[in-house]
Amino acid sequence: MKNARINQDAALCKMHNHLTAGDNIAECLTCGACNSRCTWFDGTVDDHKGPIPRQIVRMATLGLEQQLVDSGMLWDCLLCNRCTEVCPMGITMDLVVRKARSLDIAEDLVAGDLKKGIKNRLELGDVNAFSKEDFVETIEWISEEFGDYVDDPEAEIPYDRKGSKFLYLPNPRELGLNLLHLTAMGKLFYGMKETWTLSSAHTDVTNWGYFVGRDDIARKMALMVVEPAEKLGIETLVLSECGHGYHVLKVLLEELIGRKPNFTVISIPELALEYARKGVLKFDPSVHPYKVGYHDPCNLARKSGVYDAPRELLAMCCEGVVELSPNREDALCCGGGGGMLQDSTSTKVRMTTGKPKAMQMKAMGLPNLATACLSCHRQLGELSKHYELGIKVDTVASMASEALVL
Amino acid sequence: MNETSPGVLIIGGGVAGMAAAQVLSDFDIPVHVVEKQDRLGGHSVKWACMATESCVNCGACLSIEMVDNVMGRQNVTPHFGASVLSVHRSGSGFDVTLEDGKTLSVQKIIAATGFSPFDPGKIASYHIGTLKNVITTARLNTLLQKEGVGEFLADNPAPDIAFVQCVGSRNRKIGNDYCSQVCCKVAMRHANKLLHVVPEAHITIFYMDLQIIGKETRSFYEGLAPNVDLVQGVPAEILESPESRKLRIVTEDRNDMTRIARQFDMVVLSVGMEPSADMEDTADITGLSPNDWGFFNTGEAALAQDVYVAGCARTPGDILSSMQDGRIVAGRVLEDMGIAGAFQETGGKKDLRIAVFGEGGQALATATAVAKRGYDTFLFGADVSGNAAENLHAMADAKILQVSGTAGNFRIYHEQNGKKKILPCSAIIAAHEPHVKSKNIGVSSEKIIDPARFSELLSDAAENGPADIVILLDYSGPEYKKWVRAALEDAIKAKSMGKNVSIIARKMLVHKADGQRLFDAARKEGVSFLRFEAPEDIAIEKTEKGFALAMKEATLPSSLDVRLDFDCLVLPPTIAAPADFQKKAAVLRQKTDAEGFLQSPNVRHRLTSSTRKGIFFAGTGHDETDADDLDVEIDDILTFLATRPFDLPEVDTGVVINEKMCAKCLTCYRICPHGAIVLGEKMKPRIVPDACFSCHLCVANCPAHAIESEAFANDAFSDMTEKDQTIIFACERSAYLAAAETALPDNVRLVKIPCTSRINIDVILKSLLKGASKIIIAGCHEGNCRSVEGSREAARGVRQTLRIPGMDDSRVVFAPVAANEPEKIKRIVSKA
Repeated sequence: MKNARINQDAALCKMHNHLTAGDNIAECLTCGACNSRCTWFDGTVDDHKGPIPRQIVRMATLGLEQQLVDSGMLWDCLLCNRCTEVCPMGITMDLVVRKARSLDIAEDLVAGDLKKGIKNRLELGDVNAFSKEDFVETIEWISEEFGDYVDDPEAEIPYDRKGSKFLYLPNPRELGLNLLHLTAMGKLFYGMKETWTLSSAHTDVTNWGYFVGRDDIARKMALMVVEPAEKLGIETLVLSECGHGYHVLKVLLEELIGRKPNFTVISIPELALEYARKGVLKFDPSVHPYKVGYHDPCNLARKSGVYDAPRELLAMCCEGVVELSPNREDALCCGGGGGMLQDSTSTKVRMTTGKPKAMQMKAMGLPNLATACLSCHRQLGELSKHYELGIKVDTVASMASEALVL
Repeated sequence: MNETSPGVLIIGGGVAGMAAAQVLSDFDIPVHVVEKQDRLGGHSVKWACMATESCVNCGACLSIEMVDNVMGRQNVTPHFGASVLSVHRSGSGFDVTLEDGKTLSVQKIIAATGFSPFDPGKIASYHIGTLKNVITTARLNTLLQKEGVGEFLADNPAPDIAFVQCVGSRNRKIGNDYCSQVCCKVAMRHANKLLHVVPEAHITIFYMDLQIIGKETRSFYEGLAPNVDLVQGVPAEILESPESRKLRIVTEDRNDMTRIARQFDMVVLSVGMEPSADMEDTADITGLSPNDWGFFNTGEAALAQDVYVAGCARTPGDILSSMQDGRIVAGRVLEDMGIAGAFQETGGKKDLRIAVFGEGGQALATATAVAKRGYDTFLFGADVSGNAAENLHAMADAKILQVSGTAGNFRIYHEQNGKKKILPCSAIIAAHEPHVKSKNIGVSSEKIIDPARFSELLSDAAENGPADIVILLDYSGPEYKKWVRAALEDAIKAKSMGKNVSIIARKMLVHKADGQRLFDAARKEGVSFLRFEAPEDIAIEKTEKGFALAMKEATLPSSLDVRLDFDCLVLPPTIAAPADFQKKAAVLRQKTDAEGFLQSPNVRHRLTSSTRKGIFFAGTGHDETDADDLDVEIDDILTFLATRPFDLPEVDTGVVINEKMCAKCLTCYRICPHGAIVLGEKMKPRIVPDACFSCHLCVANCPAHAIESEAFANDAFSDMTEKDQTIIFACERSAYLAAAETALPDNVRLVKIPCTSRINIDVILKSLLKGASKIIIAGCHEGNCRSVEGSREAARGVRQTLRIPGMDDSRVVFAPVAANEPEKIKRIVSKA
């Protein structure tokens, strides 16, 4: 039996002591609504029992910091905010968990991969330690190929071009494993007939400071994006398909850096939809002559309110969008959120956290699924393989690129 | 009907509207009831009977009787399928135009627009509409009403059924940060009924804080709790299990501290109450300003001149309290029209004398309010010093010996200063004090204090008082809302003084309009709330500082042992019925309830009345009341006093005692449930028609057959019997109303009787001799009979008959059938 002394002076209580809706955990009614919504459902794996959301809030409320840290729930939580959606008091779970993760006594719990990625990002500018030289070399190489790709010898993939209308901020995976994805995004920009650029100072839409709950790190990382972008004098920062990247750079940015940036922020599917509506981008749905299911990334949908744009864009590029059930506000997390996917030791756990999603994909009864987050994309692909679902997973923007008629 | 007379417009014909209409119409005030439906009765008239072995006090059946009663009144004009288009002030009243163009001229308007159930479609994650077996309370109710639960559950003999509480209530995010007050009671009654209909069903109630408030609810809960799973924690999502196709709810599994998916065949969403969808229009038209919720139960809401709000339109409430509110508001309208108490003048009783019994502050408050209303008031038991109202007479030193007589003519025999005296009075209000005792927690210390002392400490010794305070609710008995409220208010105050305050409770009662907001405020102020499941989960020890408490906290991992050190333990007392309540009840010829408190819980006499006209109850001696509730009870009683004449019979059926045949055995005097038989000279019993409710218990039981009923003589029944007929003797307040809604076969004769107690063995045998093939006596459920003994008496008559050798037990049947059980009477008749 562990003794737990209630402590209203605990650092965690103070962090939450803002008395505003959403982060005043003391207002918890103990109604238990959150418990019914945890994306883990009834799964456990090894010593991971998964979060019981109400226990997290309650331990935080009563200042039982050490107990919370020891519970193992902090890093089992996927920060999906399914529980938050139903909280009658509007308590935001991802905030509670991230604050607790940021406690000094919780530092040892941070996965090695995350620590390393954060170090790389802060010191070298990229989570994968992709250097500026590597970047330039890679971009110049794919730029050479790009002319053939869009059948226009003049076409290129530009970088560091001042005064461009758009600055595209890729996902680190687009510079490594998914290089073709970057080219595909280039095709969308090409089709928009607007000036655009990449930046050799920006390789990274991700913000792992968010996962570890460290506002100081998240702020630094955000500024690493904002300041060079402002120097380039762009109008709009276009984010790669990345859920938490969007949430941080679009929803949390002003609060994080304490000011408005000199540009607007949009995600690539939203931008593509805008240009499709203007009639600039034209898609041929027969390129994908089948129906496609759509998975709502938690960070993009529930946490940032982007529900319709990816669906509308997807609908232009295939035979039709099929809804998973439940969806939108109630969508199930892919099972890889909250920093879990960034931890290479998490695979086994992720196959449990993702089981409800996998069963949902199976129930959909279609061989094609799309989403608008590269992290979800990877997790969903792995789920399909692990559970032998035979479902091909794409991103919305890459399908749009494929269907784009030049 | 004179449409320009000084009438009253009532918008909404639910129970509150009907109750108001009855009171006003008694005073010959033309009443217009504008009702959007094509019938009166609102929600409650569609409510299924929840009785199982006995009545469970919901009051729904009463609304059917009310509809019958109101529809039969000449001066009440219902406007069905109608709504109010416009209202214009004109002189001292209003010109009202209805949507169909009709115009009315009225003096006052009562908005009794009722409630709308919360639309659970607004919470998408419950998937109501998509998942067929996710239903609302209302839908379950319809299934019960139509006796269709079994079929709905595909005749599964052992279904798993869940109730999810607080759907649309206690939710700040959707703007309903109030408790709807009724849903816990409704779910408990529904669960009880389901277990009756499907005995092997497994029922789980997911609740936030079970609101067990009030005399009926406490004992009902005790009976139900062992038969259902009560799970703290309200799920917010229902999915369908892909494999079993059953409904799937994920909750915390406290056994191994993980989540568990439970499967159900049916999930009932206990949807809360919102103001009627029509309230907004009504408010616009009549100039009312409801509060943010759309109700009128907090200070922000404002009424308009000559416009009143009653029932659930004012505040969420159950059927009985809405009826009460309707009555009270009608009383207020009468008063404002200068008519209140008019009958006293017409009836020649300008100076009604009212006696109040009771030892403490509640009796004093009651007597003071009654005296203030102008009645000559005699307070037996409590000290009136400092309350020098001229017409409030202290009888503190008087010992009550006996009460005789009937309403309007009670005689209180008492002893004062060694002398025996008699005080005549018209009505008696019993406001006795119950025992207030502290709980024994096995630790004694002067640092254990009650809420009153805690309040004093906070006002006296802010700096020097205790620094770490624990308020322990619900610990060794049911918690009372009064002390929960005090705990919350004082905790907030203590917190603002920089003290640490923890409230430990099994459940948080959030009664009244602002109960939830008060609880919200306390949490916001940083009062710590801890939840326990059973008293065994808490251990308290004395320490140098004061106390050390160790507990299993119900929302934390069970491996944790939560510790608190504190120097002040606030322990609210509990209330108990003292032994002498039996005697106090007996003096008034009344019975106590299951817990020994005053007033039988009989729904036909709740909330403040009794089986005897002119005898009322107020305060914690009979029900769970706080100061506000007591005010409402006093208002209710004052309305009765002002509006219900004591000198008119309830129903005059011409029951008389034939003096020549009377053997003066006094059986009638003894058994009359209404105290309507008094002893005249030479101990001759006499029936006082004004006090008689016409149950005929005396007629059926007089050993000398000396009590005769003009309307319901033995021969009158047998004379109309035809050969091979099935006869249903149906109580006019219950089974008859149900049967009247039903098409009966030709060989069935429905006989309306004032109470089934009239049908004794004599009537049964005579009817059988006349050739009746079957006799069904259908009356009220146990505990629902207005005359208390009626159904029991009829059932006894049936048993007696069946004991006769050779009697076929299928030929004589007693069946309880409530007014809202038409399906049941159909079923009983079809078996005939």
